[in-house]
Amino acid sequence: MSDVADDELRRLLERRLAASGVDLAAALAGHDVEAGGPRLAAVVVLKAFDPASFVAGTVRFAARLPPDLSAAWYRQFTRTLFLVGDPRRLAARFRFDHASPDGAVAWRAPDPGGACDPIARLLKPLQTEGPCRLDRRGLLRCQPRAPGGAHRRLTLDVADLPLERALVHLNHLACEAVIEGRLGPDDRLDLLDAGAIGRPRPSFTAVRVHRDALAPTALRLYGALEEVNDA
Amino acid sequence: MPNPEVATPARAESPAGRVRASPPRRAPCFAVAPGPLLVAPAAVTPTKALTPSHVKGLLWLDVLFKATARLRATVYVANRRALDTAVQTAGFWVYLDRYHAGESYAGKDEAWIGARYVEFHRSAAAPCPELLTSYRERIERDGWTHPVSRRVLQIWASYYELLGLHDPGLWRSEPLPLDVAGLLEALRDLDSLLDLRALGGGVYLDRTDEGLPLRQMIDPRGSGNYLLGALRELLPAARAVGAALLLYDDELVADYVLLERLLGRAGVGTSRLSLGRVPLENGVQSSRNGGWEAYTFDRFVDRYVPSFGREAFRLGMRLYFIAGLRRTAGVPFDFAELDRSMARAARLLEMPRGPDDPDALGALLRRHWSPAGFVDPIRLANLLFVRRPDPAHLALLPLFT
Repeated sequence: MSDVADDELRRLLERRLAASGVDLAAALAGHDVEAGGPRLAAVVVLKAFDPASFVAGTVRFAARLPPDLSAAWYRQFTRTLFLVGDPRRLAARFRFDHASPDGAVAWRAPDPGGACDPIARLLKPLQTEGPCRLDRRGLLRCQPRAPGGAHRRLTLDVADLPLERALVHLNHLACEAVIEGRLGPDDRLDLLDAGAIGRPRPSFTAVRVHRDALAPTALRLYGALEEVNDA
Repeated sequence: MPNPEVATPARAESPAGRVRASPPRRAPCFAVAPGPLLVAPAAVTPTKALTPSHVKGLLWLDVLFKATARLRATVYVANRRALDTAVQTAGFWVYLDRYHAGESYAGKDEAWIGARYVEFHRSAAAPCPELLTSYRERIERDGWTHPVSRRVLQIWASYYELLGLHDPGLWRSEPLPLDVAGLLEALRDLDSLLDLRALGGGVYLDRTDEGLPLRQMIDPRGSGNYLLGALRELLPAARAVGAALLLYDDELVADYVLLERLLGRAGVGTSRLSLGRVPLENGVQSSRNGGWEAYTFDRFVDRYVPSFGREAFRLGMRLYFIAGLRRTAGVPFDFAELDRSMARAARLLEMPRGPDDPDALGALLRRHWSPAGFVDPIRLANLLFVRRPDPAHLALLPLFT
């Protein structure tokens, strides 16, 4: 990627880090960035993965969080654990804040006090082998438009990553866009598995920029949200 | 079914020699004769020296089997196929062929082989996945055994003979009764499987609804751990018999609780007996970390067999490893205590006793029948491990020699 594009990505990342009070230089040095306050982490439990259903569930989960909690979680970079488990088996012991209609994925909000979620002791972190190939069918409708909603597109460049890493980028982008008010459950949302996204465009309303998994000194645009003009 | 871990009376766990034997109780009347029992011990991979923890497991198992078999039909699970395909065995073989190519194993002793095993684990070099797969396929298909493990089994067979252990098939390696697909199907039927292979993930045993931690059985690369082999053997075998007793090392308790629940769902009345590892001078250690070198079995043989003879050796070893070290990992190994057990064994064997009386032995064993469906070895060993044993209890000696 050109230096100009890299500068743009740096600027976008710097802006996101600043919202959590973290310095860009520290983040680029590879330190595990920690924002102040209790360590908040949401939990996603999944036994299967359907991209459209996952994105729609993520948007609904993030939209339902109490405002104080979502603001604090945002400052903590919307940290999330992805665990392998069957939500239906766990429902008698654990309360979920949201679940996908087919019961394959369920979400638990961060504990406001920063306590470790006890469900993590019972389950295992998601670990997969090989690239996730998120979706190869082109544009994927995640949720329909409801009255008052807009039409948005979420473009991702994660197909070369294992699923657990791809979900990190997808999840941060979707949750943070919801918390920033740039995406909601009433919006029609299409998902595009694009390969390289290229340079940031002015039309992007939210982005996910992070160190490139393949070239750790470079930054990569893993995902972007933009409004689609239906006119 | 009551769990023997809790059902074992505290008295039986008291330091041996300082307690009196349990007071005699009325023999339980079996409302119905107990059906057959499958005993499934967590077996030792033939890749290392037998340490005191392994010897303890073998002696507990032997007395448990011989005593229980007097009261109900009792069979062992004995098939090395599952054990040999486990990564810790097949991976060790790959390692040796890579770093000790051309080595002759025929004259090697356990200490040498055990040191290579420690070296294998220290090297932390994961075996080449393709090579490991090809070894595992060969073991699975042909029952192939690497020369190093043939040598280990040869040494162990001589120890079994010396100790008078019942051998259900140290060398037996037969095709596993269930293939992987068949096992996964059976686990799905038991509603205990979480299969993430469609996502590039692993396969898990799932009883999380009962609060048991999710347990991986096949990793995302498709490589199964020891539970996969164990279940391919155990599930059909236990179903065929109808009742099972799982005997295992304390540190595997989470896995064995899970196995107990799975077998229970499959309609098998299952109980568990866990044994603590024997602490050595560095505490409780796995063989892969070393620390066992001064406690190999040949040292026991050299120290006791010439002076005490084979029969007293068998009895002294059983008394010490069962009553002396007890079920848990609380008592550290101590040669001075083993010396005393040998002397005690020699005295017991000199006591006058009548001819073997199977009826009297059967009645005695019935009094020590555990509600979990077997005869608990420590209760028998405690009867003999006292200053002045009741002459009637000498009827137990055939089970201990």
